[in-house]
Amino acid sequence: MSARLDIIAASAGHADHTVLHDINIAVQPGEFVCLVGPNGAGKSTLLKLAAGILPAREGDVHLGGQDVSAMSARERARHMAWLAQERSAAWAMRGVDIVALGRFAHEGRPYERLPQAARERVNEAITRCGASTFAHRPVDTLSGGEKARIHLARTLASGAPLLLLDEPLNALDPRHQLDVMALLQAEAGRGTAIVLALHDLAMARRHAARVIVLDQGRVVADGPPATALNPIILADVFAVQAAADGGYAPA
Amino acid sequence: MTALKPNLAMAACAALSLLAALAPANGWADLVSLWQPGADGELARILVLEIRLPRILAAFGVGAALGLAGAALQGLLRNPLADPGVLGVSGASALGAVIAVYFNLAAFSIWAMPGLAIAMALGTTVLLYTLGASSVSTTRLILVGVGLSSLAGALMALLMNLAPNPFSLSDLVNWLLGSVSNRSWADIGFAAPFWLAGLVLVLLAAPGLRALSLGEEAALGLGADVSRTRLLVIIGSALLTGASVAVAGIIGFVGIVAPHVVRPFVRHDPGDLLLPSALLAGTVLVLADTAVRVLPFAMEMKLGVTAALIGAPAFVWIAARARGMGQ
Repeated sequence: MSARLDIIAASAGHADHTVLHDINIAVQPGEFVCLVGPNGAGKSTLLKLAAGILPAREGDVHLGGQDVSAMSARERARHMAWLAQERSAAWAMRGVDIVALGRFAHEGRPYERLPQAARERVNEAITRCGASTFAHRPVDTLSGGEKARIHLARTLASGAPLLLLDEPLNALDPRHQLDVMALLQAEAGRGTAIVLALHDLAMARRHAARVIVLDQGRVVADGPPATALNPIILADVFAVQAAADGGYAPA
Repeated sequence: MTALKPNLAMAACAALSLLAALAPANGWADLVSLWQPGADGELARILVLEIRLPRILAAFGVGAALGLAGAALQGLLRNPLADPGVLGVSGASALGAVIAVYFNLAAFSIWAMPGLAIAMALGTTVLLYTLGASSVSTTRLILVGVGLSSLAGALMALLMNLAPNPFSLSDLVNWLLGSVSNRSWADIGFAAPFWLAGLVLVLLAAPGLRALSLGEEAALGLGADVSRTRLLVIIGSALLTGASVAVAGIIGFVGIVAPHVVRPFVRHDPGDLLLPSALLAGTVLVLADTAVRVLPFAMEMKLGVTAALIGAPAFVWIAARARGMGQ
């Protein structure tokens, strides 16, 4: 199955509150898409909708042409990996066992009992995320940024052709933010489709080939960063303007 | 699917404790005379095989079932303090059994008492889950459990107040304190199918519990069938708890203490935790029951009382240190 993601005329939300309205998005294999929008715009909800965690109220979500709501959780997880914004683990498990959970849809075992090939994937993901030095420590002893890298490694270890990442740069220091963006770009270069929610507009502008702007549950811009993050969108949606130093100032 | 080493170690401990428990009253003499022909051997055979062995196996089965139910509920609720006793499942189950005894429902069917005990355990677990699922607050869940426990206790007290004669009252009290003395092969045969079914259901949930470590939505994203896992644990732990309460009354805390001790040895993996917790909890109850049996008190101490005397302080200690765990 290809990693092509189609969200067609979809709306979604919680019991008494519709968060997303009439969303139409198509993502091709190998595309690197940044999802931006002010707080409460519906970025997390959109990722959950795409991941099949939250059902569409209207419209459809297709993965490789197949309806995700008709797929089992395991089937979905084999084709896409979702990184939640909240990265808690209930128990003092080791980092490697958390990353091994990324293989759940394939193996579902702790690190030591994974088959050789799967364990190598886990090790490789840990190395690529720069988590080797602390991966064998219990996660409750890790810093926020270290936890973030463990969980990112988990999504990479899955080997899924579509990654849906909710604020993967949260809690990371500037250097690690850049490293992760470079890593994800390289991953997209291998043909993995990546959709990530971001707050940092400068980061989105610099690294993404395509930016989707969400506002109040609707897609208000979708295209290359220069067009999607134009002065009108910046002022209307984010209430900021581009500043002379390359950053943003209140509009 | 579970780690071999902790299981083998715990199985060895369990086997040793069972063997040790068979012997102590008259040293090993009873066991040796098992194979003697004639009256001496016959007496030993009755003593060991008909009285002592069923009691020991009842203690082991009850302990293992409660340890397994505790470990599974902790995994499902992502809370190290979840346990059939603390959550009020044991209390409600005992209430079911007391109702069956009080209204003499056993006259209609021998399955009335264990059936009602299991049904009440099931109802309480479902209730707890629906209340707890809407919020992740573990405090709230424990408080609801405390409330349910108190309610079940009050209703049992009410039935005792109304007990028609002092004999049935003392029967009820004795049973409620938790004990495996005078349990027969029939009692074990009664509980065993429920224990086995509970064991199978809970072990099937092991991989799902592993994924649930990251929370319900994340587990779903990982590809776990969360509602199946939930159902397996709820029904499995209710069968385990209900059958145990029907055999031995209320025996608390072993379901918290055993998984807590085992956890570091299985890398805190909620799936690998299940079987060793069951084995350890069974071993602990066998040893505790052997202690109450051989300790020279004028009245034999109740197993439930002993378990609470050891387990309640351990519970307080775990709760006080539980900051880093749970949510």
